[in-house]
Parts: sequence; structure tokens; C-alpha cells
Amino acid sequence: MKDIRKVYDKVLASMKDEGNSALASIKDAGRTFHIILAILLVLMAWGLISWVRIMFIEGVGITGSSDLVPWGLYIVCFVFFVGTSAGASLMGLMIHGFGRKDYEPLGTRAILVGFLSLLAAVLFLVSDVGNPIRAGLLPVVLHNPTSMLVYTSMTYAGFAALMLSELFFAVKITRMGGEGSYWDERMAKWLAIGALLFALMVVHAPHGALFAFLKAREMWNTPLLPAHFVTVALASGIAVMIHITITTAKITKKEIVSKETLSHMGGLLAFFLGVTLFMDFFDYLVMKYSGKPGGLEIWHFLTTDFIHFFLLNTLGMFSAMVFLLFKWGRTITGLFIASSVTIISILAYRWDLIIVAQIPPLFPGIGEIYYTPTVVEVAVMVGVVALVTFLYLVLTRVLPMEEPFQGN
Amino acid sequence: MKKLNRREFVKLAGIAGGYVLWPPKSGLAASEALWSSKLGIVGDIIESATGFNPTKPSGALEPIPGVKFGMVIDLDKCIGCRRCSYACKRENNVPDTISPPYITVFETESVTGISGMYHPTETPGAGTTMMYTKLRKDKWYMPVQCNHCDDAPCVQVCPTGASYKSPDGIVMINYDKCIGCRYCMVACPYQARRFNWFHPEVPHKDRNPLVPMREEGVVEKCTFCVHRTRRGKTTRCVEACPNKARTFGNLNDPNSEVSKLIKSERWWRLKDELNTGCNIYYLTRHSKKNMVWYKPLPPPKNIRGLRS
Repeated sequence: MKDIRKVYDKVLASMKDEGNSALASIKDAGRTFHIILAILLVLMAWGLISWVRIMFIEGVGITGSSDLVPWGLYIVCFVFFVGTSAGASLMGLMIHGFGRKDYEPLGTRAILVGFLSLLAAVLFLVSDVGNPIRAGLLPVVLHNPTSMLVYTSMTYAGFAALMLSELFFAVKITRMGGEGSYWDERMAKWLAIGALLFALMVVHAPHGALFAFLKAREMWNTPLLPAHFVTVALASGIAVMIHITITTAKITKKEIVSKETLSHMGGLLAFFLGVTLFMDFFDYLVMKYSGKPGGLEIWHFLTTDFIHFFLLNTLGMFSAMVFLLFKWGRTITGLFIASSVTIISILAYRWDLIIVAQIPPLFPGIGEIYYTPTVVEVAVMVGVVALVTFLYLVLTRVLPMEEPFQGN
Repeated sequence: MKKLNRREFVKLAGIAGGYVLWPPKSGLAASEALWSSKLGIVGDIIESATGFNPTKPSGALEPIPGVKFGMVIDLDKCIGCRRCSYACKRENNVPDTISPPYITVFETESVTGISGMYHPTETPGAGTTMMYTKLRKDKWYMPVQCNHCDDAPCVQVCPTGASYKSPDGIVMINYDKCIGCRYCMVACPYQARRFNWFHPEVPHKDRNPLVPMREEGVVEKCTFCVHRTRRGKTTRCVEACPNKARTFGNLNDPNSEVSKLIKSERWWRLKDELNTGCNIYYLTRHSKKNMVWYKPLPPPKNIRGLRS
């Protein structure tokens, strides 16, 4: 009994120490950091109040969605973040699968980006459903084996568990000065490889299938979609990691990874953008060439009412890819611009994919369908993004990060 | 204040619980809260374990064995008066916040106008509209509603099993299982499903006691008037049609009127190329119209997501 008490006291004391040092590291972070956290807290409160208004006071009707466009901004953001979470796992594969030691300073950051993106995606999904508490019964109490949504909802817990285990070993190894025990290193390696495979094959490709199965919607009903989801996920994950790495380096005035590593990331981004554009080109070509009414209608909307999103998506991706093919495009400034353009063009792609697919009326004569997100909807989106940014900033301060690049 | 002893406390708790679980009148609100509101998780768990749900109306009947319901709509007899649509709305406690109602009626230039003609240079749906206010003898009118498909995409994709195909052919929704994800709505090729964007309000005096009121955040649609048809009656839209354009019946019975119609006439189904197996059949007989022309009821108002 006394031994149990001793162990309990020891654990409590170590938790207290951890808590105190975490608080101290946030306290010591400086005024600008505190101001940013305060702004994020205000945005989170705005989002939470808006969500409570939608869910419990005024009704889901104060969002812009309708019976004609049932899925709106939340699903756009959901697909973007679930893709980013999958793509960020690529960093783990580079370190552990391909033995690229130069990527190591990004290890913990990439796991955090992946985990927090998944958290954002799940929060967007929860914000979207009409009955979020009942949705908690999925898939244990309520489940339909023919629905892809059951399987995708089952994957989040598995992916989160994989990433948290990965985080545990990454932190442990960093605390041991970058050299973990044999088993720690093995676990970190296999978890990283497993997480990427799980992210792409079990989480993200089935999300593409979730849309591709719907024969009612011409734009989604293509077998290319699951593969397309995977390449876009990898592109968005790398773009977000490049963006975060460069921004962090600018703010902390410390290089996180070498210029060569960043340039390599740029090359990877160009490759995945290229594959995505290749699939896009043939998808649109078949749509136009075959002349099926549904396909022509989608083409009509993409090139008229939604031309700005379409150009932002296709030209954005194309210009970022071309930019990154040249050496001068893979300088720090070039990479910052290319990754920013990529993120914006992928957001435009997600908007086109989710919204434009629902705009053509399923019967002629329904009229002109539109979707515009409302202020409360945008507030919830801002709140969720603020929450994950807040958590990222705090966790990167509190958790031990790998040693940054020391120079050649 | 007098303290309750254990016996009195158990007694009081029993009475309170009884009111919630067995609600004659006053307990109804509490029991609705337990089963059908956003906090209805308790009711969901009890129902999934025991099948017990006191908020379900007594009209929730079992499917009739051996029956497969279907409907035939003769477009030659449809004058587009929207009486079916309005009768359905009242019969099924459909609130005003649901717009368009379960049955939408289109005015078209030809009967094929509805099945997906593409006009790249014109406004989508030119020549076809559901907002007409006057009836014209040179036009066709076509009601569209849930087709109760045999291979229903909405049933396939529903993650909770709230949408299901009952043995008598009706695609039903268990409102207590619906999480409001709207996956079924994007999957339905006939835009037949409606979401409760706000808390549905239908005055008590206007409510049909045989049809349950839905809650905010769940999907609903045509049920082939299950509360009537499983009692041997026909659907309300069939009753309301002034020109008998609609025929409802058992497709499994070769002697039923619906079976005879689809044997003897040339029929077609909406978007048949999708292999959904609709159980609503359309007839276009091109016979001389000989029917009563009524003034149409007004078109649906305040349709969310539609530019006026």
C-alpha cells in the first residue's frame, strides 16, 4: 500500500513539475506571443458563441446550406483539413522510411500539424451535422455497413491514436537528446510509416470514395476521385509544412531546416501538384469530350459562375508547380509564395469540388441554385482554425522540439 | 420542510419516471425531450437496447406481408393544380419551414423536358419551371417526389441506418436515428429529401395525430402515407387529385390497378439509367385530354438556396 502511495506521489510531483515548466515556458514566451494567444482566444469565443447559436438557439437554418446545397463551408473545410492531416504524415515517412535525417527538426511539428488538422476536420464534421450528440453513437450503436461514412468515421480514432503514439515516441526520443533506445527508434519508425499508409489508404482515399459513390452527382461520380484525394492531400500537407517552417523560422529568427531540405520539399510539392494536374486535365477533358449532359453542365458552371475559383484552382496549382521546377523558385521567398499559392488553390479546388458539384439542379426547372456562407458559419470556421492554431502555438512551446538545423 | 423517507422518494421517482416513459398528455413534452431532441441520446440508447420509444405514434404499423407498394402517375391527366402537394403537406404535418414540400410539380414543354435536357446557352431549366402561376393546356405538368427506389442511394449511404427500405417497398426514415449529416440528401438523384433547418412548428389543432412531428436537425420526405396505406387506405395525394391522375397499389398483386396499368401502357421512370429501381411509374398516353381544369394553388415560397 505504501509503495502505491509512493508511486502516486512521484507521478503527481512529476506532473506538477511538467505543468509548472509548461506554464513557465508560456509565460516566458514574450508579449507578442501572449497578444496572439489572446486574439486567438477571442476568435475561439466568437466561433463557440456562433456554434451555440446555430445548434441550440436559432437553428441550423441560420447557415447558408439548403435542401438544394446540403453541404456547405464546413464540408469544404472538413475535406481540406482531413487532407492536410494525411499529407503532413509524409514528413514522418521522409525521416523514418527514407532515412532523411535533415527532415528530423520537422518530425514533432509535422505530427502536431497532422493531429490538429484531424481535430479541425472532426470539429467541422461535428459542426455540420444536425444532431451532433446523436452522431456520437456512430459507429458503435448506430451503423449501416453499406455507408462509407461509417468507415470514414471509424478511421479518425485509429489515425488519432497512431499520431498520438508517434508523438509520444518523438517527444521521448527528443528528451533523450535525439538518440532513443533501440525499441523507441523502431517504434517511432514503424509508427511513422504506418501513420502515412493509414492516412492515405484508410483515411483519405475512402473520403474520395465517399463522394465518388454518389451517382446522383456528376462531378463526384468518377473513379479518379479517391486517387485524386490522395495526391491533393499530399500536396496540401507539404504546402502547409513548408509554410509553417518558413514562418516559424522568420518569427524565431532560427533556421528550422536547411535551405536544401526546404528545396527538396518544394520538389516534392511540385511532383504531387503535377500528378494532381495530370488527373485534373484528363478528368475535365473526358467531361467535355464525352458531352454527357451532367458533365457539360458542370463544365458550364465551372467556366461561368465559378470561373474565379476554377482559375484560382487550376492556374494556381499550375503556376506553383512551374515556379517550383526552377531553382530560383525554390529559394525561401519562392517557396513561401509557391506554398501560399498552393494552399489557396487547394482551398479553391475544395470549394469547387463540394459546392459546384451541388449547384447544377437535378431537374431542369428548379431554378438558379446558389450557396453563400453566412457570418455565423464563417465565425465557426474562424473559431475552429483559431483553436487549432492556438493549440499548435502552445504545444510547440510546451513540448520539446527537435534541435533545429545547426548549419553545415 | 418535511424530509422524504426512502419509500416516499422511490414512489415519487416512480411517478415522475412513469410520466416520462408513459406520457398521456402532460408527460409528452418531457418524453419528447428524452427521445427526440438534441439530448435524445438517452432515448436512443434505451430504444436500441429495448426497441421502446413512447414518442412514436400508435400509427407506426408493421409492413403488410407480401405487399410492395407503388404508384402510377398519368401525366396526361395531371393538370398541375398542386392539390396533391398541399394535401400531402397537411396530411404529414409538414411545417412551412419545409419548402418546397414533399411533392414538387414541374411545368414542362414536353414530357422529356424534366429528364435532364441540357441547355448550355440558356438559364438552367429554361422551358421548365416549378414556379408557374397559371395553367396552360399546351404544357405538361409533372409531379416529382420520393420514388421509393428498390436500390435507393439514400438507404445505401445513410451512416446510421435511419433511412431504410421496408419490406413493403416504402423507403422510410427513423427520425430518432437520423444524425442530420445530409449524406442521403446529396445522394438522392430526385432531390426528394428535406431537412429541418429550424424547429418545425405546426399548430396542435392542425396536426395529424397519426404522423409524428419531426425535430430540428433531421431529414424527412414522402412516406407513401405509411400511416394510411398500412391500414389499407390509399395515399392522401391520390385522394386529393381531382382528375385521378394518380393510382396507388400493390405491385405484387397482378390484379391491382397499378399492375394492370404498367402492363398495358407504355411507362417510364425518372432517371432509369441510374438503376435505382423507382416504384413511381409515369404514363404519357397522348390521349385527348378530357378533364376538369382547376386554378392552381400557389407555387412554393421562400425556398432556401434558390435565387428568386
